[in-house]
Amino acid sequence: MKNQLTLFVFILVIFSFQSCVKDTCEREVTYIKPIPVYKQVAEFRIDIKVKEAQALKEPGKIYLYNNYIFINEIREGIHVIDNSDPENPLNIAYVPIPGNVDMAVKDGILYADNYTDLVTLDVSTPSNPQFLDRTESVFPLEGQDAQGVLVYYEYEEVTEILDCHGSFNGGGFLEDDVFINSSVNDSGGSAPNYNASVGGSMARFTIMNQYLYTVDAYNLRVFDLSSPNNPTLTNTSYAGWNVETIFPYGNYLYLGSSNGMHIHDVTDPLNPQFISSFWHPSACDPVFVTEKYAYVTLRSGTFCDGFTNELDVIDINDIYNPLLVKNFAMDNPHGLSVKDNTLFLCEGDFGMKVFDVENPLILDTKKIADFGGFSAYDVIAMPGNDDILLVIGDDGFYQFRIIDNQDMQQLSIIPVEK
Amino acid sequence: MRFFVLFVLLSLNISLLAQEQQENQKLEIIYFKNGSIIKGKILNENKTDYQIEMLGGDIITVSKKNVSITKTVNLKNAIFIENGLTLQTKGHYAVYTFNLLAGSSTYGYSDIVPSLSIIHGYQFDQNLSIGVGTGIDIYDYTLIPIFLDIRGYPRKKRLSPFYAFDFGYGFPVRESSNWSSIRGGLMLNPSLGFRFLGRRESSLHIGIGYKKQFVTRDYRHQDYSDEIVFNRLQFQVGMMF
Repeated sequence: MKNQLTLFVFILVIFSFQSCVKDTCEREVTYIKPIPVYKQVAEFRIDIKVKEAQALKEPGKIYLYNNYIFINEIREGIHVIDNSDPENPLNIAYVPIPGNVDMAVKDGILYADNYTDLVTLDVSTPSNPQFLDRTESVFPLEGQDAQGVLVYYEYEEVTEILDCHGSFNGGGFLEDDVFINSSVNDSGGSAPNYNASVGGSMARFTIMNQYLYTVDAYNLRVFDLSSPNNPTLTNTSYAGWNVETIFPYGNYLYLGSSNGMHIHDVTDPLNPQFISSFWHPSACDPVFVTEKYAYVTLRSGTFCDGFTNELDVIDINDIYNPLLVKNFAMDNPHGLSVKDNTLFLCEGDFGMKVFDVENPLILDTKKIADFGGFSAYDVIAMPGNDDILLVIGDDGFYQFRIIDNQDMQQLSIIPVEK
Repeated sequence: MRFFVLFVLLSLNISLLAQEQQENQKLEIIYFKNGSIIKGKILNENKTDYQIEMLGGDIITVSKKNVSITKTVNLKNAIFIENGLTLQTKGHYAVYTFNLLAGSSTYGYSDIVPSLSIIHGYQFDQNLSIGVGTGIDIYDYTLIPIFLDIRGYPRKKRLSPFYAFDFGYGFPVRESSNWSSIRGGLMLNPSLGFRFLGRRESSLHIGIGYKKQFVTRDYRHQDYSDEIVFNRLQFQVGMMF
């Protein structure tokens, strides 16, 4: 009896220590951590003055304006390229605009974002842009506190050891899951064939008639340009989730977002009306629209959110009911451009593919050419008779001549300074 | 399977080694139901009686009705201790234990899981025995450990403390599911306790210990892995033969 009691006490003592020993589960995770970047308003609301040309460092969107090309330097400013001779483009000027990622040009006036502000510059003499005016606080802030205005996040790859059942510190994204940063993605410009002003398919600014449309992560904004120097924000509407690109065609705006393509009717230009959506799995998605079809590229990658690499062909004959008619597997599709019946598709580090899209449903069997050996993330097929392609990639700004749709001859490159 | 074969082979080796070292210095102990003990040699036995040559040389006949048990000891490998009990100091040993492993799971709730182990080995002297063991540990994942066992019994008494240190590798029984797979890992298991010697060739062990088992969980669709460590208090009841 005494022994049994001793045993019982012994067991009791042991199990009272039970809570002292804990199983552990640790997970080494590499993820992208957002690090907020703050600016004082006085730091970015500065006098904008043209400077001498500077080398490209981290080029963003490209915008074709007559014989000139504007190349965005991400969050820094705009390079002015004289492209009178595509074989010998001249980097002639640089306009520092803090926070700039988007631009659009109409009637000699360039509209550019400057963090929270919209600025206008007279580019009627493109070699010497002149600051005109500033519309303050029209774009949303990420936040504001004692450190200043939170203007964007820098994303840093971080490796941490975490508890398996805990959550990631400070938000962030798994490396494979990837994310979309609302204020910067790859490149673009805006507005289709008006006044020979052409933006790429990755644009977030576009001009239609007397109106500038801009998209940020969630909102579609309309600026009235009837007083060109001094645009007025007239409407802000909900645009979708993580809208990344805007493409105008006819009376419609095609917004590419992380989870679909949304169509807005701008027949009443100041009051865009949402019409329909084509939903797709999360991925980055520039859009290019032709008469009957919309082409949407979905890709996986660090700045988007998905695992898909494909080109979707969407029938938009019935604008209220866009239908996916075919999708084609691609390597890492980015921006795209269609001219006549030829589709030019940037494939990131895989270069560029060219397809005959007379019948887009069989475009995979109609691949005309496949150009590798360079990085391409946005393309503009130059309007007019010149078969010239403007391509921006990690390595620089390229121009190619398309020869009989069969071959690509590199005319020039303005390299990125490494 | 290959680990099981390895275990059996190792056990056999150790047993053979044990047998080689035994010599013919054998002695019988006759335990009577009334508590008395005779040491000597059973010369003859029939259905009812034993004829015994006692240590002093006298030959006696005792009725089996009065005998509780008889036990043969090899004096080379055993010594007498109190109450006529013999204590093996050398030779093959086997330990079978049932364990409860208690702790907090990775989710934080209290968790007690069962575990069994079998150890075979060779006792070099009171303070050092070396054997190999296997068993089954049923955590969130069921593991079969293969391990080396080092133990000792410092006191030459009926009741002796013991110390043991087991270390080896735990192999998962079911390695994968649709979304993850399990890799085994190092196992460490020090323990302390008491041995209660019985009259037969056996003893009872009661002890406590600490068991640490490492496991890695790989995910099929992620490029990270989880390093899981089971840290458990061990409550042990076993028999040694």
